[in-house]
Amino acid sequence: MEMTAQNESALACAAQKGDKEALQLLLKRNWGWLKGLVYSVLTDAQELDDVLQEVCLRVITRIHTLREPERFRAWLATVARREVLKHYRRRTHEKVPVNPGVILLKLDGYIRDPLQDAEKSELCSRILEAVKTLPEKYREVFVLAHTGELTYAEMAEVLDVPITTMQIRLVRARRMVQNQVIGRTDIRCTNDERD
Amino acid sequence: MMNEINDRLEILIGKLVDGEISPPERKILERELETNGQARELLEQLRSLHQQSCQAIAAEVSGGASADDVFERAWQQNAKSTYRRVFRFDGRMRFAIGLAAGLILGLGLHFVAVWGSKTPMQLTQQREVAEEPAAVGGGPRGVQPVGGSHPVTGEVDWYVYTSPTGEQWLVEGVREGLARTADYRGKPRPM
Repeated sequence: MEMTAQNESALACAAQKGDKEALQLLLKRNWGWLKGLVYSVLTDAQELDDVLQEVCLRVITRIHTLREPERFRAWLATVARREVLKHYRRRTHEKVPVNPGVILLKLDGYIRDPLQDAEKSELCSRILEAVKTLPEKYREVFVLAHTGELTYAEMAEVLDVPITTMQIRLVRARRMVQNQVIGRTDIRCTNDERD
Repeated sequence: MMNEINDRLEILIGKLVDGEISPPERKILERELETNGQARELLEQLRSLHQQSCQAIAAEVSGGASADDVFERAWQQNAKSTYRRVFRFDGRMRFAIGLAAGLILGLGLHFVAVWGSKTPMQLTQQREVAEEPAAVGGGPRGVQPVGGSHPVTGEVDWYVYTSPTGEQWLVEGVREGLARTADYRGKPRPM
């Protein structure tokens, strides 16, 4: 994750000139948060790969339109959001509801004993449910913050908002999730969400 | 005012949990935590929430294909669609190609029909008359141009020819250099 803006900018320039490896490396380095961002808009892990492939395809075909190579992340985030929304619109009518309990059995990359991890799974399930009910701008920042890939400054860049706005959104998103998880109904700051 | 203090405190706690807190902010937070039991409780709650959220989200997004695999698939897909774009004809292009093909085919059929409508015998006779007027019989001496009351078109010249046996022929002299029999008045010719 230690990629300087200069490196990223150089890679973006090379990618614009048709360097496949540079573009691949660029996407690989940004893959973690990109997945998180796509998930935060889509809220469906099952279609992640399909959407990510569409995002990659869009990046490949549109990289030449990137005007500021030093702002590749922000551009990538915009492309990703658009592709997710396009995908979401296409699939709206055929979308199958996902059972969050099934996904949570995949914790730590392998199938676990549901009885042993029942309490943990229940908590994670409640967190995910709470995340899915967040307004999109809070959901995005919450998921990005918990993918552990980006610093605050980078998250602000990806979300294209000032860093203070990003911090306030994160605090409020945490508060909303916390309140939902512990069963509180008096969610603060939901009515006075002014960034 | 209370909410503002809580917001600031929560931002500081959030920064601590996320590893984004600066040394001066850490000092401020530590002083607050020493005196504020609610802040300590909030810190523990947010730490726990952070850990659980990281696990839950990682479980959601960690599966699936690797970045390299997805990129390769997209690259291949792009290569295929580029090929398709080059050889893809839209509606107007298809219409133009169809129209051109139809015209060429129609012209071809027209010429085939024109040449096919004349038998080889007709073609031979026409050629003979044009090239050898005497072959009609008696040579050009007996051939008289049609004038006066006979209709004359601008495209052909008409001649009346009476053969030595008394048969009367109306001969059409086409200006292309060919001549063919247009009419025959007389006794039936023996076959």
